[in-house]
Amino acid sequence: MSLDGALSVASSGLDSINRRLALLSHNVANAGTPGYVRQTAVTSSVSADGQGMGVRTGPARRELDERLQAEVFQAGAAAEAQDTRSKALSAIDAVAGTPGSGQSLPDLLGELRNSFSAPSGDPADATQQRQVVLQAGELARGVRALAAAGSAQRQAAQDSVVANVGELNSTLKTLGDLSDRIVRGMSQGNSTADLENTRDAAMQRLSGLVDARFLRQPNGDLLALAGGLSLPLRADTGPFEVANGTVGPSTGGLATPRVSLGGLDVTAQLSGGRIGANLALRDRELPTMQAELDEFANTLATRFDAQGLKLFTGYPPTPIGSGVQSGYVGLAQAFQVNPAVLANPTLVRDGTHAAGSFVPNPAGGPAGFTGLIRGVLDGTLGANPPVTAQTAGLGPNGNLQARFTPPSTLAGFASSFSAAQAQASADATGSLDVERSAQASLQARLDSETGVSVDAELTLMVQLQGAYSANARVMAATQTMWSQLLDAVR
Amino acid sequence: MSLFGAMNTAIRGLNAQSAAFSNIGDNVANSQTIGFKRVDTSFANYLTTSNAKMNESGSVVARPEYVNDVQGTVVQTDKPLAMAIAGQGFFAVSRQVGNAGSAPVFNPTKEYTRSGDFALNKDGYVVNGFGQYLNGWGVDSATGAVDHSSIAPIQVNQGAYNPVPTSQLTLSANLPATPTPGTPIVSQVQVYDSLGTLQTVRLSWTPAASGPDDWTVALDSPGGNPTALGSARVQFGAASGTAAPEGTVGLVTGAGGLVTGSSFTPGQDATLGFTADFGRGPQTINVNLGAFGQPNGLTQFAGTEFSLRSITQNGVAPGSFSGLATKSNGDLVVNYDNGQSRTIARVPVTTFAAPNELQRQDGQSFTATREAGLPQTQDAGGNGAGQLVTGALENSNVDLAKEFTKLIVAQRAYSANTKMVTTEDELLQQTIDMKR
Repeated sequence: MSLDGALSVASSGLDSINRRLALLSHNVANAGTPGYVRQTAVTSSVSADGQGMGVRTGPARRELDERLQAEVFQAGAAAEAQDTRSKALSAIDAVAGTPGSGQSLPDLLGELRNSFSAPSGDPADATQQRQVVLQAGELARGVRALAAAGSAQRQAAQDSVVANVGELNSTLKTLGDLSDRIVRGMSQGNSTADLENTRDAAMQRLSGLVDARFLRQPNGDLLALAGGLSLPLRADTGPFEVANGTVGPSTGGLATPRVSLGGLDVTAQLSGGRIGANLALRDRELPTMQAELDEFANTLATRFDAQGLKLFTGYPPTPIGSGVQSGYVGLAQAFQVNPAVLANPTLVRDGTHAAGSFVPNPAGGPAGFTGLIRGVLDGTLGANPPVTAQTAGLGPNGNLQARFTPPSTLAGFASSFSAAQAQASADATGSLDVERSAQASLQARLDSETGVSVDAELTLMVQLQGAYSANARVMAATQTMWSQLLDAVR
Repeated sequence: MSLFGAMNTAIRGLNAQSAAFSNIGDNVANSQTIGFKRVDTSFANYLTTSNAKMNESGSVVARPEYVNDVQGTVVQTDKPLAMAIAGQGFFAVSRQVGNAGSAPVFNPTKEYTRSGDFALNKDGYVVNGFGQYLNGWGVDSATGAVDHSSIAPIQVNQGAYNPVPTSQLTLSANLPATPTPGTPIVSQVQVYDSLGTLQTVRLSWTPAASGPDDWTVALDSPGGNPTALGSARVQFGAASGTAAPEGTVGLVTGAGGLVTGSSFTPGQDATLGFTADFGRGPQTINVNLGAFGQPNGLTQFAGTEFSLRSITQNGVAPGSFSGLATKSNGDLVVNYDNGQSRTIARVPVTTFAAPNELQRQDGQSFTATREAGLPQTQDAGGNGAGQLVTGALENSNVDLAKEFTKLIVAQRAYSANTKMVTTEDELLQQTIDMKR
C-alpha cells in the first residue's frame, strides 16, 4: 500500500460526499413538490483482499411507506367519488328548492290543494278555476324541472364517464411507459427514484378515477388491480372503451353505454373514484330518483283520473321497458296539464269523464256543482283511498328500488320524496367532508414520513461539509508527504 | 591483487548500480500503469581467487527480481466492466494478430495480465486498455451451466432477448361466498405468446345453481383459435369431499376442453392446466390457484364481490440489449430493457505455481514459461485464486517512497564506486610517479 492508496480512498470519500450532497440539494429543491419522496443513497465500505479501498455509494433510493401510500390512494378515491356525487346531487337540490320556499314539490302540491279549496265555496268563479289550472301547471312544471335536472345530471355523468375513461386509458399508458423505463433503469443499475416519483403521481391520478390497488414487482414493474380487474398497462389501444351516448328516461340500467375491457362489459366492476361515482349516479342513483318522480307523477295523475278529472297528461305513447312502471317511464319529464283543461278551465268544476259513481256535470248543468271538487279534496288529495305506489321493480328495466315507502297521502309522498332527495344530498356532502379530512390527515402523515424535512437535510449538510473537509485534509497531508519524499531525493 | 583488478571491480559495481537505476526508472515511470508489476534489483558477487591465503577482488552483477505476486493498490472506478483481482492470479487474454474477414484472428499463445480496465469494442469483444481480448468460459444460455473445458475470447451478442411464452399463471383472489346468482365473475389476465405478443385470457367464474363452494371456471381468449379454451370445476371446503378447510380449494377437475385439474394433496399447489393456440401452435399454461387447503391463493370467503389480490404470469416480453455488468464471481451478465438478464460467460482467474518466473510482455502482460508452471484456470476466489473486485482497478504495485529509498541507496553506492575509481587512479598515478 503506497501513498496512492490513501489518496484514492480519500478521493472515493469525496466522490461519495459529492453525490450525497447533490442528492441532498435535489431533496431540498423538491421540498415543496407534491408527492415528492425523500431520496437517500446507501454507502458501504469496500475492501479488496482485506485492504480497505474506500467507500461505495449506491444508487438513490426512496424512503417510502407503501402501505400508507396505498391508504392515501384509497382515501383519495373515496373523496373523489363523494365529490362527484355531492356535486351532482346539489345541482338537483338547487332545482328541488327547500321546503317552505314555494318551489319544492310539497309546497307546489299544497298550493294546488289550496286552489281547489277556494272554489269549493263558489265553484262557478272563473278566476278561481283558472287559478286551479295555473297551480296545476306550476306543479307539472316543478315535476318536469326536477326530472329535467335529474336527466341533465345523468347526461353529465355519462359524459364524465366517457372523459374519465379516456383519462384512465392515458394514465394506464403513462404507467406502462414509466414502468418500462423503471424496469430498464433498474436493469442497468441506475437510480429510478425520480421515475418512481413520477409514477406515484400517475398512480394517484389513477386512483382518483377508480379505486385501484398497486403491487410493485421486484423488477420494478407494476401491477394495477381494480376490484376483480387487473388493469392492463401495455395495451396498444384502449384498453377501456365506452361509447358516447344520450341517456334519457327511456334508457336506464343496461341500455346505457357500457364500459368494456377487451370487448367485455366491466361496468359493474369499476367502483370508487370519479368513474365509479359517475357510473353509480348514471345507472342507479339518478334513475332511482327519476323512477320515484315518475311514480309520483303517475300516482298524481291517476288519482285525479279516478275522481273523474283528467288533469295531467304526458304518458308515453307506447310502454317502455319491462318493469312495473313500463306504462309511464319518463312521465315526469313530459308531465303537463291536460290541454283540454287548459282550454276550458271550467272542467276543473265539471269533470272530464265518468269515473265510478261520479258523473260529470253536463253542459248547462248547475253552476254550483261541487261533486268533483269534493271528490278531489277528499279522494285525490286526501287519504281515501290511501296512496298505493310501487316501490320495487322500478325503472325501465324493473331493477330499481325506491328509497322510501310513501305514506297514504300525495302530500306525504311529495314530502318523502323531497326528504329522501335532500337526505341523499346532505349525506353526500357530509361524507365528502369526512373523506376529505381522512385524506388530508393521511396525506399529512405520508408527507411527514416520506417528504423532505429541511431541518434534517441541513443537519446532514453540516455533517457532509465536515466529512468533506476531513477527506480533503487527508489529501492535503498526502500531498505534503509527497513533497517531503521528493525533497529527500537531491 | 592488482590495482587494475580493483578498478575493474569498481566499474562492475558502477554497471550494477546503473542496472538498478534503470529498474527504478522503469518502476517510477510505470507507477501509474494499471496492473504493472515492479522489477526490483538483486546483486550477486563473482569471485576470482578466494582462499585462506588470498582473496582477489571479484565482480558484481545486477539481476532483475520480478515481483509479480505482490498486490497493487485496488482503487474504485466508475467503469462498469472494470475488474481487479484481489489476491493471486491473472486474467487470461488473447492478442489479436490479424483479421479473417471481419473476425479477428488471435495468437494461440494466451497472455496473462492484471490490467482489468475492460470495455466493449465495436465487435462486442471485451478488451482491456492495451487492446487484449479477455478470455472466459462459455455459459449455456438455456441451462446456465458453465463450460469449464475451454476458455476463449468473450464476445457479447448485443441481440434481442427472445420472448418467453407464459407457462404459469398465479392467481390469488377471493370468490364471493354469496355471489349474485346468474352473473359470472370475469377476471382477465394478459399472457405472452411465443412471439411475445400480449394475449388476453379470460377466466369466467360461475357459481353452481346448487349452492356455494362449487364453481365452474370457463377459459377463453379472443386471440386464441378456437377462442373457447375449455372449463374446469373448482370446489371449496367440505363440499369438495376432501379434508380441505372451508373456503379453501379442495378439488379442481377438468370439465371441458383441454383443461386438466388436480386432486387434493395437502400443501401441494392446486393447479389447472389449459392449452391455447394463439396461431403458433399449442401453448400449455398452468394456472396456480395456491396450495390446497391453504388460504394463500384462490379462496371463497365472505363477500358479494370478487376481489383480486394478485395475478401474475411468468412470460417475458422481447427485450433489447441495455448493458453488460460483471459480478464478483466472474459472471458477465447482459441486461435487457425488459428487466431480464442473462449470464453469457464467466471470467476465470489463472494462477501459476511460480508467478514471478513468467515472461514479461508488452502491455504489462506475461506469457507462461516452463519455470512458472502450468496455467491453472479456476473460479475466482477458489483454490488459491484471488477474488474479483468489480468496478475497481489494480494500480501498479510500485511504491514511490520505496523506489526513492532504493534510488538514494543506488545513488550513494554509485558514488562510492566512482570514489573507488578515482582513488585507484590516484594510486596508479603515484605508482607511475615512482619512476622519474
